[in-house]
Amino acid sequence: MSDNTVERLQELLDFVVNCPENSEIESMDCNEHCESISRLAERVAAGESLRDVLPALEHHMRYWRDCREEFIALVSVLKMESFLNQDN
Amino acid sequence: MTTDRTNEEWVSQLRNPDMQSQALEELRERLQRSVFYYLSQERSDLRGLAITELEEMAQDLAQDATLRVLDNLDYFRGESRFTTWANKIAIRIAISELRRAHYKDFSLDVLTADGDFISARASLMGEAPPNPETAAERENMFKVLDEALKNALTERQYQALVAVALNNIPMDTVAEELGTNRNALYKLIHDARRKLKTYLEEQGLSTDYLLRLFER
Repeated sequence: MSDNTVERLQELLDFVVNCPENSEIESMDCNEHCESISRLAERVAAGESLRDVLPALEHHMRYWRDCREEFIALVSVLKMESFLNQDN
Repeated sequence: MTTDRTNEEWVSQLRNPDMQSQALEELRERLQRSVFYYLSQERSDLRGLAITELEEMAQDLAQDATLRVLDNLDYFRGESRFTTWANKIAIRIAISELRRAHYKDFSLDVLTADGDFISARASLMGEAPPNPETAAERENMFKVLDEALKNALTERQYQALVAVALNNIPMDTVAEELGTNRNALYKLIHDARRKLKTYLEEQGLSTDYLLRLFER
């Protein structure tokens, strides 16, 4: 049994046991028009920590990689835009 | 050359037939720049593609995103900057499209509860365990987990949980395969988690014990 298999089993068990159930956060993630996530991404791109701004979303993203990937991508794009605006 | 606009200006110009064309073009350019940045700077899996290919991808995705933004203008409430909201839609379209392409041949049919899924995976790979006792305990627990997944969950719950939590298949891919949406998939997976946890506890297996057993 490889470390990788054990690691993934550990992840599965952690997911089964500890994954948060938060319908408010999930509905923010599900609704692609939801602006709450956009506003949070603006704050994180401006330097705030997601853990401080909305710990529940940070916890949610620990278990839901799709949401995490999309949020990180948005923050990254906002930082790029901010950089370009400073330059102009 | 793009113009700085307030949220109200973006919305009103995109709604105004006389001004829509220019606002749409500037929005499309802006989203194309964002998507291109994402594809070229944030996606290591696309490093092998030529810049022209990435530009074409960004162009197509930005076009889709611009139309989506226009279609959903009524949903915008002004809590964030308009361009952030539009970028969010564009990024989600881009990521979804990349996921769809990557998993185009994926089928949930490969994840059935008929086989010893976890045990088969484990026995395929031989690597020294921490000690013989733990190894034996883990082997046994793989079988128990297989049984638990088979007995406690419906086929649909099994596929959803194993695909997302064990195989890291994107939720949109799984939702599409199951003919549902992300919101319903959350519920399906949470139901599966609860049932599995309850089943294991009924077998006298505390989840703390299992977590400790597979600690690395």
